[in-house]
Amino acid sequence: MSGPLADLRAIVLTQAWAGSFSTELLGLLGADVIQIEARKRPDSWRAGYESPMPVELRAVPSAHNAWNCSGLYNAVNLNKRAITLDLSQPDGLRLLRELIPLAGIVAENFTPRVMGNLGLDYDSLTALRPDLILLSLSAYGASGPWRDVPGIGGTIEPTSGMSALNGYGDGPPMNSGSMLPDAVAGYYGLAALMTALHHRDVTGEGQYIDLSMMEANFTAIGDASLEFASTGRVRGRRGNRHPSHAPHGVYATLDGEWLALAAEFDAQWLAICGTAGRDEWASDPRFTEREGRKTHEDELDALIGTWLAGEKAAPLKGRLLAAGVPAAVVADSHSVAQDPALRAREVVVDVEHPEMGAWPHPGLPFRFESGPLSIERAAPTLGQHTSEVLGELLGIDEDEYARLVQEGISGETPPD
Amino acid sequence: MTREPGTTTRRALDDLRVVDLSTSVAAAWCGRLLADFGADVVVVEGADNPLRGLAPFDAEERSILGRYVQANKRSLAIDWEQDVAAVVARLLDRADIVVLSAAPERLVEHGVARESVEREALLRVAVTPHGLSGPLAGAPGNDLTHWARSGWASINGLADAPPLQGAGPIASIMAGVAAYGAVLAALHQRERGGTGDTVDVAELDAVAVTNGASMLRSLLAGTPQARPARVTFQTGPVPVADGHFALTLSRAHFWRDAMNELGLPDLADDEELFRNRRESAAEIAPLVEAKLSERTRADLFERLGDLRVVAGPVLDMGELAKNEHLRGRDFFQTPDLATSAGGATEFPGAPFKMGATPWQLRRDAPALGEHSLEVLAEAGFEADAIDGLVQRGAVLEATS
Repeated sequence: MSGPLADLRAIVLTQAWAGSFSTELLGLLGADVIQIEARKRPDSWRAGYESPMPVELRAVPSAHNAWNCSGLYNAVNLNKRAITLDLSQPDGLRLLRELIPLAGIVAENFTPRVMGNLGLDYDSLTALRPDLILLSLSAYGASGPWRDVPGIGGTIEPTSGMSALNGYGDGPPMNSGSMLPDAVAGYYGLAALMTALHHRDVTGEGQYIDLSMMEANFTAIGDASLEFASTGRVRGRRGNRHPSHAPHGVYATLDGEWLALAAEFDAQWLAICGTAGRDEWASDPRFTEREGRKTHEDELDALIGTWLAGEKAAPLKGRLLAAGVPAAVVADSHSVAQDPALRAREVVVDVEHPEMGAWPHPGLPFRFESGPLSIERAAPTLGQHTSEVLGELLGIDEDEYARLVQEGISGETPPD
Repeated sequence: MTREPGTTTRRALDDLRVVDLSTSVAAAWCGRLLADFGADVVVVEGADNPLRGLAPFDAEERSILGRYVQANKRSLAIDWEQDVAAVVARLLDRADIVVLSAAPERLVEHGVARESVEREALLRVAVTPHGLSGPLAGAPGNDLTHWARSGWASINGLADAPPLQGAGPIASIMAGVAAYGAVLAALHQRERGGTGDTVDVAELDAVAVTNGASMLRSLLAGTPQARPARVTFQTGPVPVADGHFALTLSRAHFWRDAMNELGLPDLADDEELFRNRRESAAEIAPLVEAKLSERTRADLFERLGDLRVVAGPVLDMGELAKNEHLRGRDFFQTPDLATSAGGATEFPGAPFKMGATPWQLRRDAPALGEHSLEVLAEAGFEADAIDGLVQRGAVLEATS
């Protein structure tokens, strides 16, 4: 693997999205990331053993096992190796404990009691590797009155304050459609690990990190908290509007698309007027300055809505961007896969998966001038690398691996 | 220089010096995190820094969002129209990291010496709307257009209404967090004998990657995920007696325990219904939501929490300010140094708790130029040189 973290190895018990995304980012940065799963309880984002094969894979001959063909799991586990170990059996736990000293980083996103119940709390892990960094990512953190309350993105969004801010101006609070808090917490998981890594690089000392999804997400809307603390105002929902800028909206176009546009500066407003060919807008004193446009936003939205209803989205977006105006056509979850700008920067990449074949995957969120990051592995199938990893790191041979499979400690299939 | 574990008092990044030239929320948040974990972060800004002009404002006419993303930093105010290239170059020459919201080349265009901008050991992190390369490099963009182009807006909101942006500056914050992680990864490479680097983070990219799970699932399903016609208890928060409440009954035992708790035993024991819950939503939702509407958020959360059912109340910022759990974890923090005229204000606290090297909010956001003189002195400018810079208006002092 190449990348700035190519000297690192992480053993991860992350599942679903937030934790898995954090550790995928480690892998994209070059680290050797090894996920531990149990055959009895595979990653919940693989979907269960009973799940049907996704529709578009039913005619793909190599697509044998639905749990290896989950769009969710396979989207957030690139550049990882996956092994299966049954940690409820002594030999499974022993093997994990033998792997820990070979990895400087451990990450997990169980509810807070689980690691302790497995005998894998921070103190136990540092007995195996004194400079270990442990990232524990949970819904509400490892302390406090809600620590044992389970949560996922769909409930962290309401409890972190996000849902109260998300929605139409005249509508109820809403969730954002796809567990957004996991994505926020995932980026923060990488941030936490890199913070600890620098401290270890300087001092040689590892540490424990307690990441609460509620708190991480709260900081993403923390300005609304500061508004309450400093003014007493409880912020509501804004739809597509912005507290400073107008116009700032999403408008229906002639060809049935939606176009987002905004003017953050007066020059951008004049560029909108020029693109629309409406000199009378540019000279209208209500709209000359930002404050006026904000005050008269309803009138402004009506004018722009009428204009866009007669325009095709993609050509107009091109003209607006060329004029220096923030503009974008609303992509859906299919069309986004073909966006040439996202393709050019490897944000969307075609990845060849052993069962699914080649499909567009989400790729790199950042780039480094010193050298390209590379996507070298599709998301692993269940237990795909157990024999390879145990052989490479612990010297376990094929006979011993066969015994582990025989005893149900490892393997690549559902439990017998 | 390994120390005994547990004896350290350092903060994780307190060996780092950062120059923050950003004028966007995304880049400024990267700088804010560097400061929160110990780096010395100096904002170099003009009097027209857009971050000071973002509504809403507090009683002292400060931008609340600007204050949020600039806390823990010091401010050196300069007039970019004057000859300030040597000042900026001197600061860059002493820095480990420079945070930018535009291409590094823009500094060279401003006259800052190329050898300072491109110094080998310096880490440049540029957080821009669309990145430093690619077809959209240099094109404008913001949270709204990123939500649109990434696909997120297409699944947020309702089917018969426009696609919807996210709440507040979440896209910018995500990009800032990604940039923070990436620049520290580059720092690790430098520590191992590598050189400096330019880290290129596009706000759009950081957001679009996070829509990728919906993308791949939708591609495999053959149809794009769509905005729902209406929110039901299975897709988002629904009305209860005193607000809104979310139940995400993704597992059979959540379903069973929740239905029993709501007094719907017939639904609880119907496994067929659980398996077909999406298809049966129209039929079941009115029954469940009628029961939910009789209960309060606190009652539901306590009872379902005891049953280990994933569920949660919609809370607003007024409620969260007194939330027992956040208070129980000492989440909110008041800056050690309150520089504002209006007195101390509680800020949101650490995004994650570090066992050995805690997050710390040392100071409130600086007034424009509040630290101009001390920063110049630290950078080795003599008193008369500083006087000269101030006299000719190249460097601005705080007016308060």
